[in-house]
Formats: sequence, structure tokens, C-alpha cells
Amino acid sequence: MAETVYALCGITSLTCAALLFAGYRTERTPLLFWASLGFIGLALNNILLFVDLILLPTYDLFLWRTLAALAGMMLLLYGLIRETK
Amino acid sequence: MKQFLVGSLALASAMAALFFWHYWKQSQDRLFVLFAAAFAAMTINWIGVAMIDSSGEGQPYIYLVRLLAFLLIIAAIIDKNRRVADGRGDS
Amino acid sequence: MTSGRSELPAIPVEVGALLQDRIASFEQLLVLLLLHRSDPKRWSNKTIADHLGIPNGIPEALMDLKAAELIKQETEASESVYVYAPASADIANAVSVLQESYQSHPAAIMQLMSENAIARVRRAAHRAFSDAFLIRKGKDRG
Repeated sequence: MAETVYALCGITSLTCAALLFAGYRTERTPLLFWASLGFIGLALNNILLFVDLILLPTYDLFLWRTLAALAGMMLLLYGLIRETK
Repeated sequence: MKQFLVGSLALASAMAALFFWHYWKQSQDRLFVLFAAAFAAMTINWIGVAMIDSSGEGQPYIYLVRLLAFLLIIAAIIDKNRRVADGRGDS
Repeated sequence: MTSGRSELPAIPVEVGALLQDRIASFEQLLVLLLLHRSDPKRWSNKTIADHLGIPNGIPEALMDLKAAELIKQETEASESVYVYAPASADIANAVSVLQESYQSHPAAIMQLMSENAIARVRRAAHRAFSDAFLIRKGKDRG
């Protein structure tokens, strides 16, 4: 069940990233660029969680997936903050 | 270290939720309030991960909250597309 | 931005609405005011550019003002010329008040336009983000 949830979350994040990046290519709004990178980071977090749960005893990808999520969130926040100037 | 990183994630998610909330106030576009709720759920998710020991993400309480977050995002996307299909876009 | 805001007079409501809804740039403002005070004289892009001292002309501003229903385009000797043509009496009245406001308090007008421009960019960014999630584009975006 957990693996299914994280797989779904990973796919949703990638979809958001793809939609935002496609939007960026049309509108050239910086927010869309940074947000798409943010969702890629979140997607990586979910995908690595999925991998982690399957390979559980052998590896623990905690550091990588958490850093991926953190990097993604920083980029997303950067994009969101830029727009409030 | 783990708690520091996950704590940072919780804060970052909370900030994102606040920004989306602010965007919703300014634009009245329902997509933003749904994204705000999604990131609020992610904040709870990260707090839960911080509080539980190793492999916290395997626990139902954790992944169900994350499921909620992403269902909210999916709902936002579906709602956006249905609104536009029905006629006028933003309220 | 300087902090002299408390010194600036209030701008009439109809002028504020006009600036927000129909006049997005300083070039558009100058062109509109020029055409308004010289009404019904017709100007081409080149004569406007020469008069205002803008080397390359302002074709985008003319298109935007036409779209905002403030000026009209006609053809004269196979050249495009423009003339002041407000869409309604209310708009005409607002432009007159704008002309007076700009002559007496140009700084206040420019500050408001600057604020509008910032808000416009922010709104456009929000809309771009939200519209990115439209799966099927090409719908009427309003």
C-alpha cells in the first residue's frame, strides 16, 4: 500500500513538473520554471521512497531523498517569493 | 541530522502553503487554496516523519497524509480543467 | 521607490480605473494624451515618434490603445493613421480628467502606473501558474 501511494505521488509530482515546464516554455514566467524544478525535487523524493521501500533492508536512501525534497522546496519557494516583490 | 533536515522540510512546506494561500487571496483562483491545503498536508507529513523513528514513511499514518496531499493536487488540476470546460475560468 | 507617498494627492476614481484597465505603459499614456489634446488630428506611427522624440516609434502602444478602445486606426494614403476615439462618454470623460491630473500631478500618475504594472505582472504570474495545469490549451482565457 505504501509503495502504491508513493508511486502515485511520484507520478503526480512529475505530471505537475511537466505541466509547469510546458507552461514556462509558452509564457516564460520565471515562477513556472522554479516551480517545475520544485516538483521534480518532490518527485525524486517520492520515487526514491518507492525504491527504498522495495529494497528496504539493503539500502536506506533517506539522505538522498530528503535532500532532493529539500532542494526542490527551496527552488519552489524561491519562485514563489520572487513574485511577491 | 535527520530531524534537522525533515524539520527544514516541514518549515519549507508550511511556507509554500502560506504563499499559495496568499496567492489565493489575491487571485480568488480555487487552484491556489487547494495547493495551499496540499502543502499544509505535506507539512504534517514531514512533522510525522520527524517524530517517528527509522522508515517512518512505511507507516500508514504517514503515507495516508501524503496521499491526501497529492489527492488535493489532483483535485486542483481536475477542478481547474472542469471549470474551464464548463465556461468561465476563474471565479 | 522614494518615500514621498504621503505628499501625493489622491487620483480620481475614474482615472484610476482607466489606468488600471486600459493603459499599461508610459508610452501608451503619452500617445493617448497627445492624440486627445490634438483631436481630431490624425497621426501616423512616424509622426508620433518624431513629435514625442521616440526613435523607433511605438507600434505596440498603438495596438494596445486600439485594443483598449481609446484610439482608432484608419488608412490615409496607404499609411496607417490613428485618431483619438474613446469607446464611450464615460471613457472620454475619464481621459479628460486624466489629462488634467497628469498636467498638474504627473508624479502621482506615474507612481500609480508603476504600482499597476507590478500588480499586473504578479497577476499574470499567478494566472500563468494556474493555467499551466490546463490540460487542453486553446480555450478562451478571458
